[in-house]
Amino acid sequence: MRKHTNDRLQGTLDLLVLKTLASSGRMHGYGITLHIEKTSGEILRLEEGSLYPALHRMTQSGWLRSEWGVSENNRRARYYFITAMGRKQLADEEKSWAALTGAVARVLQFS
Amino acid sequence: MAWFNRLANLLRPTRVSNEIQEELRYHIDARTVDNIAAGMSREDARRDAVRRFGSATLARERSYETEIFLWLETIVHDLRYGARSLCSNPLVSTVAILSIALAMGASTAIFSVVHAVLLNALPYQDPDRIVILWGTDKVNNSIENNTSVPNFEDWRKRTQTLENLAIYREVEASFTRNGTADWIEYAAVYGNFFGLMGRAPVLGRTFSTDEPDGHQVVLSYQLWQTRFGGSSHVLGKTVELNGLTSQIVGVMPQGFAFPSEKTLLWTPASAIPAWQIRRSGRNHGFGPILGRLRPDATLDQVRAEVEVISQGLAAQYPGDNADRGMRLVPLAAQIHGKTVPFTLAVLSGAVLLVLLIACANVANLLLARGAVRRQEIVVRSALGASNRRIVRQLVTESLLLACIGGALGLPFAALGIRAIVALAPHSIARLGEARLDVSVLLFSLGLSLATGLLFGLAPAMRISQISNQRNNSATQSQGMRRAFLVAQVVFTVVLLTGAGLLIRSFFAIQSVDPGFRTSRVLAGTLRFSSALPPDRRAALYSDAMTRIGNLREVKAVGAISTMFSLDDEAKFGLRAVEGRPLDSRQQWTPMMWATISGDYFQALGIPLLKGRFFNDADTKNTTPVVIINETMARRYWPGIDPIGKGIKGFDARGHNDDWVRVIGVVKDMHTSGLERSPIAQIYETQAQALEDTENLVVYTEASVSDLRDATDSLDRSAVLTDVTAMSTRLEEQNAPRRFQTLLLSLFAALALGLAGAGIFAMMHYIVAQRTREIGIRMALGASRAAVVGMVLHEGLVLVAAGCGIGLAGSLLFSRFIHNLLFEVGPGDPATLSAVSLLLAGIALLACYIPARRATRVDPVIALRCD
Repeated sequence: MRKHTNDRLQGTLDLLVLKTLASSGRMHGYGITLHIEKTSGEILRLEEGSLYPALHRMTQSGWLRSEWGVSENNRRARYYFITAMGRKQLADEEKSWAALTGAVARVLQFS
Repeated sequence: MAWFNRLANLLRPTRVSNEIQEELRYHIDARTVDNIAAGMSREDARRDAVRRFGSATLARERSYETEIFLWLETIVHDLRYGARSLCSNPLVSTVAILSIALAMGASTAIFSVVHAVLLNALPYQDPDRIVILWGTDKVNNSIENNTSVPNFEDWRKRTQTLENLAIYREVEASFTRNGTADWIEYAAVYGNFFGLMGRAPVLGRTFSTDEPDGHQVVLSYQLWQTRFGGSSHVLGKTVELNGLTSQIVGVMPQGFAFPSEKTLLWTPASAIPAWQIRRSGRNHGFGPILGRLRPDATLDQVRAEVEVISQGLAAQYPGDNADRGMRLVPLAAQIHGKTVPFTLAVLSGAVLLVLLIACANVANLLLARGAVRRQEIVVRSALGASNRRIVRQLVTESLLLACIGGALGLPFAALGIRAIVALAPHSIARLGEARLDVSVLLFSLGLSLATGLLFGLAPAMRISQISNQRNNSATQSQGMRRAFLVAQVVFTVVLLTGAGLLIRSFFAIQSVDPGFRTSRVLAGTLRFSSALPPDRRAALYSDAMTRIGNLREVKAVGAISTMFSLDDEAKFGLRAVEGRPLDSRQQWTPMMWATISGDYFQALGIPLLKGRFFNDADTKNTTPVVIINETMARRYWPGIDPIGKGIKGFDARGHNDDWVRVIGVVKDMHTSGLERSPIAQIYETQAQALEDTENLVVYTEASVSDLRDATDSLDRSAVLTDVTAMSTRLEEQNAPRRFQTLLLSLFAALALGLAGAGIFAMMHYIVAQRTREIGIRMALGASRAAVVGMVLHEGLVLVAAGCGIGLAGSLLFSRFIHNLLFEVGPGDPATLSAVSLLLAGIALLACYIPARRATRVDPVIALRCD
């Protein structure tokens, strides 16, 4: 499995997905896309295709679990929810994100 | 639980793949529905959904790759696709697979030899911790001297870095069991030999070698099998060895063959004649020392200590040890010798070049086919296959091709191994163990995969770009093809030159006049039990000369103590020469002192230049006399008649250390091998020097069995072995060289064949590609000759470039093998020009056929095609 704590871009997507699922519980992939777009004030637009490899990867890492369910419009859809391991990962990612943004902010302020 | 998910995915693969598709479809459908709700038209909504998603197919493929099974499934799919595409062009595929099969077969065969001979661990405990100490002598430059037992005892006491020291002596002696006498080689050992080697016997026990009267023997596995049928009842049985009755106490396991594969048994040192003298005489060399590095010692520490101890011994016993040094040789180096690793390195290098040529061939064929497959690749990438995906597909095809080639190469390899084992000189230890075992098969598989990558990757990258940048890439891949062709020619020239130089050397050696008759001369070895007193043995040899001489077909018979000294570089000087100051040690040269009986010179047709041969009047009661050869005469009496001059040899000889008188001068013969110039030689007669003359030479039409009948009745212990024609014996001396030459020539021929096929295929392809252009030229009035010339020019320029680089490269290569060369220099002009001509001829032929085809192009058809 690739290490991606250093890969910011990928890490950011993971962070967003984990946070979304942590706050909203069970969601399908499309729902996650919409949620991120809405809560970010339409600033963050996902490359939607790249979401699914990330979801699968995180499922295999044990951060997410998935199950098939029935969607709002009565179709079969795969729902994802966060596991305990995922919450731990989320805490880690949030911490490192805060550290990074803090550092960047300081640089921007003082230079 | 990640692994569990993966495992679970493996078990329900198709569901996973369907589920992923369903999930992605749901996403796009949901987005489409939302878009419509936001007021877009149905088509726009769908298009926007797909666009936002990125390429749905791409995403699907990336998702696929997270599933192991799907990954495997892709490989299977790629393989099936690859197999189909190999079948679609059987000619190209057959040529490619055959190239690879031949080259892989040769590589695998050579590797299995290298593996058996060099890489396989020696069958002793921690063999790389065992070292051998050879005595050296600063006076005569000898480097493989024996150490005496008293010196060994001192070494054993003083060393801090070695443990379990032992000393061994290689002995040849008569071996009698149930009345049938035989002559065998064995080792007499002293010290903790078996403990040092660390192997337990398969039967019985070993012996503690310091016990005082140990008439015991431990059999080798080979002797146990051949002489005792592998019976477990051998323990306690007796054999007669060297005239002494000895008891069998144990049998060593298979592979235990120290110091050599000819060693058939081991005895305590006390079981050899004259042990009591050797035990106490500091000047009586016994054998090399064997020791194991202590666990904390390094080789450098041992080397340093060896230096200190030998200097100490020299200072303490200057009379015996003043000029003695000691040289450390790791066990493996001793067993492999100097020439075997070198020979195998040369052959491995050669076979690697052949493999590279085959790779270049296949890479070219793939590139050529890649151009043809452009359509297919463009379609595939338009259908959404990523660049990486196409490269992977193409590389999978190459790997498939390489593995098929490798598998088909295995029969070639098996044949090759048998041929090598049959052709190789006997001096290569453990060669007989070479076979296609698991590790060789693994190597072959690994090499196939590496080869597949090597010849597959570059063309695959190039071809996959075709879809992106059409024209540019086509010319680039042509450049690549040309580079491959030049590389092929370069490697072929290097191999051809190497082989050519070796062949020239081989024939140069074959044409050296050995200085003695080789046809209708039988050579054999006649021995009598060493338990008989020396004068009795001398009398037996004399009888043998008479009896064999009386056979009807025998014209002359003689014998000599030592006929050939092939590897010996040691130099000597005489103790005294009448009327001449003593030699300084710098003037010493190789010299051989041998005893003859019967008509040795007459049997070998060596002419007498001056003086007389020995006769019956030369007895132990008359003045000691010698015959010398030309080199000896030139060395001590340049321009002077040596007849009647007196010399004193290495040891005190004759009565009261009399002068030994020269009575004759004979012509030189090549006794130290055809490659070295004759050395100084002194011959004595057995009537005056009681040395065994075991090397029999018979000028005769008689058969071996006639000889055997004559010698068998001489004595119960008479053993006649190794009877062959003298010419065969000389060929055996040349066997290592013949082996190298033959194999290198074979590889060079293979390389030439592959390169020829490569040039042909390349030119064929170029002509096919330029059909239209040629048609236009011909329509515009170009003559056939002009077209042929144009095509030939195209090919021959590349070949000439390759030839030039190759000749430069071969200068480097032949410097590497310069000590295999005889009477030809590394830059031998005859060889270089012959190689260039040969290659030019093959290249011309390979270019001419496609060129001829080019002239048959019908302009009209050519213009219509495409």
